[in-house]
Amino acid sequence: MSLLTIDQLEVRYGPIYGTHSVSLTLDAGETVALVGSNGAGKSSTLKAIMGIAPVARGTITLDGKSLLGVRPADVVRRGLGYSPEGRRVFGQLSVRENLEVGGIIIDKASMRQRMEQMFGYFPRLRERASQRAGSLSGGEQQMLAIGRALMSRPRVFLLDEPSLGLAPIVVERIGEIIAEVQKAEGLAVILAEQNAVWALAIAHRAVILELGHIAVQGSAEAMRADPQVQRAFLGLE
Amino acid sequence: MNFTDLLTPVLFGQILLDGLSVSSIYILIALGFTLLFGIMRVVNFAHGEFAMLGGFALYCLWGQFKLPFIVAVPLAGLVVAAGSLVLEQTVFRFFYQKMFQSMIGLLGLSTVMMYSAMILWGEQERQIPPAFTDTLEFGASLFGENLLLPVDRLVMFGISLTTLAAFYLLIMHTRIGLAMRAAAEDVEVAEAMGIRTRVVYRQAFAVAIFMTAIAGALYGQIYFLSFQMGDQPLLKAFIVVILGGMGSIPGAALGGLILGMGEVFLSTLFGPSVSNFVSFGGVIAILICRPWGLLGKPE
Repeated sequence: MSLLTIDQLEVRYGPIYGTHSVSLTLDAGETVALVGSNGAGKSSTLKAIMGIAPVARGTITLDGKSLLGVRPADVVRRGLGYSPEGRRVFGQLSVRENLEVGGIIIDKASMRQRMEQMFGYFPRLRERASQRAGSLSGGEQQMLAIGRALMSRPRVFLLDEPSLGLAPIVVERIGEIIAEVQKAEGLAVILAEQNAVWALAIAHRAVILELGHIAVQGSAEAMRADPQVQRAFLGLE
Repeated sequence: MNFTDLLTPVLFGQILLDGLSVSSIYILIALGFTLLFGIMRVVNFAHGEFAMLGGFALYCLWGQFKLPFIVAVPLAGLVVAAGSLVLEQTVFRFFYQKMFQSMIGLLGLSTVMMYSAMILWGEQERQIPPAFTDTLEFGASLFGENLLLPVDRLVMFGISLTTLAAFYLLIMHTRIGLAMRAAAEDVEVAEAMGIRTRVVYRQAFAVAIFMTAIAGALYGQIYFLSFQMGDQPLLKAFIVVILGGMGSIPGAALGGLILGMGEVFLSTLFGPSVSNFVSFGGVIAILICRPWGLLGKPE
């Protein structure tokens, strides 16, 4: 049985569709890339898992138990971590306080230990620990958003558009850190990304979404080699 | 008459002391108001009625049950805050994150609370008996004339200062405060980090009403007690919060200090009508030049 299973998910905001029918599975320790253009349904899928977006049809289960109707705060307690699109760090709070919010469900002693681990993954955050998060650069804010989500020691990490607006070297570093955390903690990751080249490079498997439907899916390696995918999504000839 | 002749060092010191104690009460009322707006986005037009309830609670606990004053005031705050949770469940929570609806709905609640108080306690104004009647005199060697400091005012100032300090510690140094600040900034993400926003809302509500009721109790003791006394505290909260910036906690502190000091200064030197004219004039000027307040941020 997979860790996380999504079956024929339909997300609807009133008359507007977020996704029509998305199905995917996720196992411990693997990264699945959710690739597609703006409006393809990537963010809606992640938000539906977190309990933020309204699910009209379909199922989402974690360890075989449904996540539907569970409030976001309790989804976190079931073992999910979420880094939203656009980072959305708490700009008025310090870097340390942002991490503390991320770890609000763990006790004080593990909080200290976990924060040290985060500073280990992201040394820049230690340097800026008492600075207001709003004053960080885009790349630092993205690191913080990731660190904040990982504070609660999730088993499943939902990462929405981490590369948006960042320099290539920062994007590459984020990829390395995800791999590092995954290796150390057996984390399962769903990576929603427009940057298909990068996403396919760091993911094990990929699902390509088009207008709320699954267009193609398979191993990332096979997709990188698929001429059709190359033409349509990777911009290669 | 020469202005500098009028403003002797003693008078200046007197104004400063009065101004501080008035300011601390305004800050308490305004903090409650700004907390409700900053976190739940409700504009609490019934705010003054909670201050009134604080006044009546103090009247009972101190005036009638004869509890020690410094126990009666915080207890009055607690009683009102605990009771207000009923209104949180039955009225307020339906207006969370609905700013415009909340204005109309809570204006209605304000009227209901006001006239319920009239039915319960009657129309007549009452006086909360003074807690202390002594006056400290000091500073003669320094200024040639004594500064007068009523112990009454000193105790009130101490109580509001302690409440403010406790609030600061709660907001800046506890998990509850951290959750409140996070929710104030981005409710959706706060919830997605594991913060149960329903719980945070309830806690913030109780804290806001606690501070307001304490301020109302002190306000009621300085002035008078009546079912209509809520108008003034609401007005003050409004001015302070507009001055400082809606939803801004440091803004409420700054705004309260400016309004309290300004009022005492101007009304001592030029009379209350000038003082009102200037404080409302200041609000209009702020709204024109800096609509988001001194320390608020543009939306």
